[in-house]
Amino acid sequence: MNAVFETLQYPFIQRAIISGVFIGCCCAFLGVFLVLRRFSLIGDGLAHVSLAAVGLGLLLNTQPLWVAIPLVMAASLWILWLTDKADVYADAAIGLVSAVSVAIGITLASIGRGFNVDLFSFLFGNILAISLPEVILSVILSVVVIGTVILLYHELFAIAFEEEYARVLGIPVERINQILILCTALTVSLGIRVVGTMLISSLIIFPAVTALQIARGFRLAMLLAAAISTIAVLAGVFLSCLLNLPTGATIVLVNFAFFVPAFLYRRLR
Amino acid sequence: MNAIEVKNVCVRYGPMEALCGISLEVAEGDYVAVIGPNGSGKTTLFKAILNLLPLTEGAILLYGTDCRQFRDWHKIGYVPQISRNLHKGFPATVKEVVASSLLAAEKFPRLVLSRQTEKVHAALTMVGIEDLAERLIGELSGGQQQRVFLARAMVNDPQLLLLDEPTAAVDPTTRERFYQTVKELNDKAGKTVVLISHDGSQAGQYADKLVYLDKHLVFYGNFAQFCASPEMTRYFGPHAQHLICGQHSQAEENR
Repeated sequence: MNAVFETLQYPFIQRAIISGVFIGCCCAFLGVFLVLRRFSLIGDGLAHVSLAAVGLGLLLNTQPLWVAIPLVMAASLWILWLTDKADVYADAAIGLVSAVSVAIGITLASIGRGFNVDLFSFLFGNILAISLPEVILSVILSVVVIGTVILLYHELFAIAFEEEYARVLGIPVERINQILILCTALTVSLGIRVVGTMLISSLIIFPAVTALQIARGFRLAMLLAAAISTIAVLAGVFLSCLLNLPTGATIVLVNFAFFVPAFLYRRLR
Repeated sequence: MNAIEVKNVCVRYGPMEALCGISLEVAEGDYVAVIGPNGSGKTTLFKAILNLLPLTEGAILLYGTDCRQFRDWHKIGYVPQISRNLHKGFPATVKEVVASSLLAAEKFPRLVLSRQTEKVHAALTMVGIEDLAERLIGELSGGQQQRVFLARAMVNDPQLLLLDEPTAAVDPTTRERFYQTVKELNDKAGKTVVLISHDGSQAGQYADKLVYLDKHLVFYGNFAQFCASPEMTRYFGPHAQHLICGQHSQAEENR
């Protein structure tokens, strides 16, 4: 226990915990809606887009996050357009955008050979190296995302349950879907610093799927997902420091450790 | 005032004609059954009324307002067709599902729903499932789910009920109880009911008027007229008449 308190005194650990918890909660809240709408792999697709955007940012010698946020948001709207208007299946649309983005990322990495090391840190995340301005940005944008989800909770619930019925209630389904997808894009852009592009979708999927195994009520599922995500981030940061493990991967493994008993509980209930 | 006015409506899915030349009026307090074979356009007609599909031709008025401009969606309760596995694993309780319909009567930001629990309780009591309020929707049987969806449609105390094959997945006893509940809503609470059914005889027992669709409007009138009409014989055959119309006559006598 002493080791935990000692670790907490390091500013880089404090920064990691603050940004990790906020981004983790965003992922958990959005994850519940995305998983139920069978759209959870959009996190993976957008993470690939963010890799290309980060590559572009590094090539232009600017803060990668500033490039990643607008580009990932644009890509998210593109995926939504392909799905809704161009009749492309959701998984195919995600795959399409994702593949193009990876190809662009690889090309950019090949052009700017010098920044491959930096790109590596976005690939696998480096939450312990997160800077103070990045923490502030993460907190502000996370508050925006969480606030939006709370404000639109009833609409998002109605659409997740039955999209057509939501239209009959007079809910502007297209607009709400755009907002959900833009919030996801924002969260993914921020989340790649926490667990990296390779693992960001797990931060969206795991807490939500775990909560859905045991929750008896939608509001409860949301709160449970946020709690699981918070505990996973805290445990992941501390365990990785104590055992000298990669932090992003440890957070994901803790999430998996929550999922297994929840899954078994549901099967054996 | 008419609850619904359908004026020469055509709906096409690409080159395929789903409905054409449909004109009919449903007055307030009517109980209308819509029947017809598979693919005859029954659900398409409902979706057009609810502005879920664009009209290729014509117009639909809801309480005198074009359905594209209509905003009083709380006046309409809709029970859609359901498939058995649609909500399996969804973590919502019955109470949450029913409460979601309250959105229709609220303006953004819609944060007041949690204060309207008494409306939800009243709707659940009306259809006799108040004891299921805390159960998960995916844990319920088909019949129980249908009652939840009827409660969801009723929670805003709507003036018009649109029911799309509401008893497709339920056993005969539950089906009978469901139809009786709807009939009571029509008789005692004065709700206008439009019901899609595959079961012409069942629909005839309760509905005052009947619409027979087969991409076009084949028949629209009361059940007795339908039983005597050439359309009845043409579509169901000469021997089916006593099966369908016999039950209706019996139901009329019982009333």
